[in-house]
Formats: sequence, C-alpha cells, structure tokens
Amino acid sequence: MVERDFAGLGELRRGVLVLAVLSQLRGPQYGYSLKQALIERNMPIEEGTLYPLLRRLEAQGLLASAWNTDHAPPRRYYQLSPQGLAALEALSKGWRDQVRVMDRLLDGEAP
Amino acid sequence: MNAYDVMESWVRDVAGRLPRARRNDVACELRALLADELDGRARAEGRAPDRAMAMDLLKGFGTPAQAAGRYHDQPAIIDPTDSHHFVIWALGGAVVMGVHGLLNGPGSVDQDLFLIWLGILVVIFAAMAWWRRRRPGQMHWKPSPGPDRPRPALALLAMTATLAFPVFMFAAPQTFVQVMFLGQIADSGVALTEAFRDSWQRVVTLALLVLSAALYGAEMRLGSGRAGMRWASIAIQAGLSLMMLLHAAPMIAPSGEAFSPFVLDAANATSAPFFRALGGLFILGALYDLYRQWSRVRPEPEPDGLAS
Repeated sequence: MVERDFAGLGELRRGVLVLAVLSQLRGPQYGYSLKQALIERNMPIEEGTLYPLLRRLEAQGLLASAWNTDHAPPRRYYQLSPQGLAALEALSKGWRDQVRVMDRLLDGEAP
Repeated sequence: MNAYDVMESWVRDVAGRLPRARRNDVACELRALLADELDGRARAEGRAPDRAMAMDLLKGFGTPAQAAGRYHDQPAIIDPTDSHHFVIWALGGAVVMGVHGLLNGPGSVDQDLFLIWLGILVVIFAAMAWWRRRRPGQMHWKPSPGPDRPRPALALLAMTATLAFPVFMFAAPQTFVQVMFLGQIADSGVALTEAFRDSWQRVVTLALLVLSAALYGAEMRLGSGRAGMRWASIAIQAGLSLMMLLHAAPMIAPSGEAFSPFVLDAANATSAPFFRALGGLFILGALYDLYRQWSRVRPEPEPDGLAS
C-alpha cells in the first residue's frame, strides 16, 4: 500500500481520484461498497472526500444514481452514465499516455 | 446518546447547512453511509458500535460545516484571487475617510460610511467574479506599457500647467487674476497680506511648486522610471500637503503675530476649505505613490528588456 504521510504522493493520488472512481462504476455501487472496492485495490480514499465527489460527478453528468429501497437501509446506487463511460475511456487513454511519458522521463530516455 | 444518536445529530447539523433542495437527499445518503461505515468498523473490531466509535468515525468526515462545505458547489462571492485587491480598496477607502476626518473633524465622516463602502466593494467584486465565471477560458487581460513608460507630451502638459496655474498664481495672484479674466474683474479680492507675502510659508510653497514643475521637466527627458524621481515626487507632495494645510488656518509670524494669506476676510474664509481639500488631495496622492512604490516588482527589469 502507498505511504499516506508523504504530501507529494497525496497530491498524486488526488489527481487520479476521479479516474479511479469512474473505473469502479461500470456497474452499480453504493458509497460504502465503492469505498471498499477501492480499498481492496490499494486505493484507499477518505470518506469525507469520496461521497461529495460522487455528487459532483453526478452533477457533471458523468454518473447516474438512484435510490434502492428494496433493502434496509435504503441506499443510493451510482453508475456510469453514457457520458461518464466516454469520459472514462478518454481519461484512461490520457492516463496511459501520461504513464508512458512519465516512464520515459523517469528512465532518463532521450526525447 | 448511543452511536446512532451521535451520527444522527451530526447528519442533522450537516443538513442544516445545505441548500433546501438537496438537504433531505444528502442527509438520507449520509445517514445510510454512516450506518454502513459504523457497521463495518464494528465488524472489524469485533464489538458492538458505541459512542466513541461513532465519534472516531465522524472525525474522518470532519465537522458538520466542513462536510457541508464539500457538498456545496456555490462559488465564493469574492474570488480568492481578488482578495488582495479587495483588502487594498477597503483600506484605501478607510484612508480617504481618515484623511477627510482629520482635516474636517471626526464628525464630518458618517460613522456608517465605511460599512457602506465595504458593501459597495462586495457588490462590485461579486459582479466582477460573476462576469468572469460567465466567460470561462476567455482572456480578460491586455498588456499595458506600465506606469514608467515615457510620456513626454503628458509631462510637458503637466509642467506647463503647473507653471501657468499654481506657480504663477502663488507668485503674483493679482496679476494672475487680471490675466485670467482679461482685467474684467477686480483683483483686490486676492490681494495678499504683507505678512504672508514675506512669509517663509509662501516661499517654501513656491519653491515646492517650482520643484514640482522641474520634476515634470526631468520626466519629459528621462521618463518616470527612476527611483530618485519617484521619491522626490512623494516628498514634494507631502511637503505641499503640509503647506496647504498651513494655509487653511491662521499662520504665525516669527513675531508671534497671526496672519492669513489674503487681506480680505471673505477671501480667507472662501479659500480655507480649498486649501484643506488640496492638502487632503496631496496627502492621498503621496500615500498612493508610496503604495505604488511599495508594490513594485523587485528587482526592476533591465532598461532594454529581458530579450536583450
């Protein structure tokens, strides 16, 4: 697991948070289950950050949500919207490109 | 209070800080999320949830105000980038009112005026921020040559105006009135008292005005980018403000006798508020130039620019 007490790493992780969250919402998830899914994949996220982020992504049209009242307690489930799916694909491509660029920078390769 | 009461209290306090349209929805979701989190912790620790566990969980979410703040997407009324200018304008208003109160007595400034000024500033800065948000990504900036650019025509105009008006008027007020009004009105109204005509106050004021004109002349040739000239300008303005304020009240001769600038009492009564106003303007001008001097970028650029 990544060290959490290094400020630079914290910034780095915040930068990829949206991509991490979108990647886990191809299927419906409620807040707590999403948080657990991220933790299981070594991407812990503070609860105070995750839940408002879901609302913001929904307000941007990237997520769709609905209350499920079939179970107790009722839970709000989030899932990628078509726009969110397109954003995930674009961000994934951007991320992979960025990783290649960074790898070259870190390995000291000539341009 | 048990663990769930503690969480419900927190949810209630968060909800109270949210817009009405989102309040119930967010509160219900938070309630469910907190219950999930608490149950998860209780399972992990192998014990029943209690108040201490709930309080520890809520620490992760922050205070109700902090948590509610994360759900707000309302922009700040004043853009953070405008905070500095807001403070400068607010302080500038306070300085103007302070100078006005100093010259005309504390009662001359309405006590509510500063609050009104702050209110006006909030409205203006909020409108600016709103306007910028309506046009995201647009470049609202144009390059400007800056305050130190040579302006020989303006400097020539300022020098001529200084020599033609205050210097001439101070040196020979009656002649000045005859020339200005083509001899159509009597010049006796501006006749100077003998004590004033020979006073050091008049000499010093005249000297400062001539120096001011000379400074404009120097600026015409050299530009206004030299630190020495800027400090000289501040010193002249400060000196002139002092002299104008001295002119507004009866002056004291070395003999101890009080005297006024003009022979006629009516002329003295009429001119006193003008002298005070001029003194105030010179103080404000000196303070503004001091502020500009303080806020300059240091070190200053090379005269030929960075490209050379």
